[in-house]
Amino acid sequence: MVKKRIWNEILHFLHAVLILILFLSGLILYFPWLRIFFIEYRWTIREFHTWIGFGYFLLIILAGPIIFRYIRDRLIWRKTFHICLMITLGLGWTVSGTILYLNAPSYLGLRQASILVHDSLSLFIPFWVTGHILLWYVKKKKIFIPRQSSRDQGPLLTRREVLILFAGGILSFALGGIWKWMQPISPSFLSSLKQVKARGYFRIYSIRNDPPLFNPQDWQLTVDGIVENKLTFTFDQLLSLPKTQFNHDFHCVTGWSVLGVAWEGVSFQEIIKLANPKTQYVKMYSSDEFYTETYELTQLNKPNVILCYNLDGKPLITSQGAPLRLFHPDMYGFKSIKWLHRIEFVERRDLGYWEEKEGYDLNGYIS
Amino acid sequence: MLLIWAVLFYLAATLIPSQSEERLLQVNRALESTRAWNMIKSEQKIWGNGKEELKTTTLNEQASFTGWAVSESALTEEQSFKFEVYFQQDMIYVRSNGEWIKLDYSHPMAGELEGLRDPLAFWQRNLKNVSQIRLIKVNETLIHYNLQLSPFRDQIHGILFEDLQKASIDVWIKKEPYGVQKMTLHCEFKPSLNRLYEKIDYEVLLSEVDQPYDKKLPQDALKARKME
Repeated sequence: MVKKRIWNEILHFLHAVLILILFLSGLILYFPWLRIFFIEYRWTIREFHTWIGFGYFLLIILAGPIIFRYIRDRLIWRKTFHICLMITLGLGWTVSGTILYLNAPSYLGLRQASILVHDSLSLFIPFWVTGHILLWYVKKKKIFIPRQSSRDQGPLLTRREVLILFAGGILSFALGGIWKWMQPISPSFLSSLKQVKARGYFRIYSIRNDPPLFNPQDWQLTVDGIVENKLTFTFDQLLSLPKTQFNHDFHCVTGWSVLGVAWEGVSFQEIIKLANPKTQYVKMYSSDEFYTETYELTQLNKPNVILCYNLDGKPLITSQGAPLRLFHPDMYGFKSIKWLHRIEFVERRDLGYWEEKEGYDLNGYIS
Repeated sequence: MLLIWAVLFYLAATLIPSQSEERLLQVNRALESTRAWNMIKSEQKIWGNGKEELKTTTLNEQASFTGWAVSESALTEEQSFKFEVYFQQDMIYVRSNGEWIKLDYSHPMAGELEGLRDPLAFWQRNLKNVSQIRLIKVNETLIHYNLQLSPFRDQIHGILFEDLQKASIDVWIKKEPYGVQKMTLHCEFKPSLNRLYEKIDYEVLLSEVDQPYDKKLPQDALKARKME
């Protein structure tokens, strides 16, 4: 009896020491700043951690019969719970640790899952061990004596139910993994793959074959109509206004897109502030006065609706609508009129070029 | 208790990837590793209805964002259109019939040259359209996968892939040095009177070049006419 008790205490002590060594060496491998601090010994610590882990697993296997007899002799649900938890943690560490040690390049996803499981179990253990030691101390010092209840019945579960819970839990986890292994590729996985998006490129759509050429000497932007202040800007005057820059995708109603375009220009809100319109509708004209587009003022009164003069860090070229075009991030490209020349605040909203010609949606919001 | 078991089952099913997902990750990783090669040489071919339509050779140095390519596409049975491209950091120079033009990367034509500038982008982009992946063969040096694709819409070398009836990719991954050695795409289109080809085959052969990049921009390219 005494011999059995000594063996139990030795095993308990050995288990605690191994857990402590694994935890401390694991901390060095987990925290980047500790990894860097011990950079020269990193591989040695990893090997040491692995071999101690292997020893821990051997301990659980060899001590199995002793643990089994211990549980059977005591029939206390708390001890059963604690030991089942320790065995489950040990199994979890061993399986995940083995996968990490083998480091097979063909199983990248499994390695990532193993890191998560291994780290989560390890971060849980200090809380459990602290509680375990505190409870022992409290009982030893008789600070708190728990109410004597049935040794077999816990607050929620009996001892038998604890055993079934852990056995079923391990089995459920294993079955979940096996079931998932046999599944086809999931849509959520595909969307998590790094997206190498086709940035796309601008197709040049124009209603004329001879786009207007920009002459900085005589070009100007006119802002008129029902406004308090009629305005005229030369190109240099436009450049001197407060600038707005942002990245946004461009979408054409015909189906192509250019992703991550860098836009730079003057916010339309700046024009509204200077002109002080007295009406709710806006009409914009291209240089030929043939292509027009119309809007509600509220659609344009947003900080990232801009009169754009730079695209991807460079001035607009002729085919892109030089020197100035509208860019509305929420609308299709046909609404972002090119070769912008005149902004008129009007009493009534008419159809723009494509709305009249082909029945395009008047608002052109991207759907 | 059942709830706890269900939660653990769900956790495992969420954390652990499927075998197919592991294989696709491996293909993705192989493409990423190939991108990390200092200099990539690619030889690309496209066949339309079994007839060779396009042949290109490219050389891209990753670190300096420079590259060179030569492309030949069939116009008729006897005639072909050839051009040579030099990708510099801020400008693209194209030579055809002895004449040079230059364009910057924001020019619409630059998009047409994406397949020469970045031969891997098209393949890596379409991994997200994979519906099934099968391991065909593994030996000491190579791993061969076949990937079935859901219908997709994309464009490369001026060929628009849409209205697809069937599409599959075969990929050969080299174990050492790790990376993609070859990829082939086989597409069959839905029948249409407007379509020139019923099927397209696209192949890319990749190799790592362990020499300094030596394709310097010729002097007469500096007189190139800028494309507006």
